[in-house]
Amino acid sequence: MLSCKQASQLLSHNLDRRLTFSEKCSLKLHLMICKFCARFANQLKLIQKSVRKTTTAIESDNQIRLPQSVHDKVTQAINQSNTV
Amino acid sequence: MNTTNKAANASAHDWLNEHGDYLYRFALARLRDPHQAEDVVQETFLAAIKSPSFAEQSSPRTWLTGILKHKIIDVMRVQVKTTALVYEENIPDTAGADDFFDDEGHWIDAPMGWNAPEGELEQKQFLGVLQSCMDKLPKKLAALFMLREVIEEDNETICKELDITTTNAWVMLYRARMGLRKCLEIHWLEVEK
Repeated sequence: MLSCKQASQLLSHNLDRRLTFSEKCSLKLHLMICKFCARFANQLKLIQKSVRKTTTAIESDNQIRLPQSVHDKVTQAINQSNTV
Repeated sequence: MNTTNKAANASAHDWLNEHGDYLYRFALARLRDPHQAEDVVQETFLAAIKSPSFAEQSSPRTWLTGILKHKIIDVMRVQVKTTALVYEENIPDTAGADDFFDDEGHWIDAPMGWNAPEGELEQKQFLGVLQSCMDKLPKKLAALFMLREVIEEDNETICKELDITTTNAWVMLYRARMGLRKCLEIHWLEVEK
């Protein structure tokens, strides 16, 4: 029988590697009887989903623009690179 | 200035105007730090104009994004490799996960039930709390976590680049997730009240 500590580790590993068949079985069994670890599992999924959602949100936010100072520096570098 | 240079010069300016904002957003979305994002975008353009294959690019955005992605990974790699594992206040030291479990492996503070955010405003608040929790994670863990979740590199590639074992990476990612979850629980429940 898995402890909650082991279950929480497997739930995290599950996002990074393929669990073995026996790991999957014992995890499933644990989640059926432990509501805390079941909660933990949902929260991990929510975190993963939310981190990715933020990435998409920033990427598609047209109000975020390259700061003028960087634009100027690059412009200067382009001019210099070809004036030799 | 010869004609080829002039043409290249013109297209470099065009690229900056056409793709600069996009590249900056791409970098910011992954690094979540404006200064770092500015630096990698600048470096990307500098590398691009120096590149011999500069004039042959038929799809500059894809090409530039490829260069940028490597620069972003470099920044994260440095953070993972060179920063010490220092915990900020408010985040339990998850070093051995021992703060979370007793000797028998039971939760010390069992995860509380909190609701997934609903509606646009709540979503926004939740993502805000999540970001502030990420900022509180040790840089080392946060960088590894972002490499895994946002760059979506597989573990083997990440480990090779960072020169760590996969087991080590799994343990660090576990710590990152435990720390994030705990921080979210504390601060999101405050918002929900």
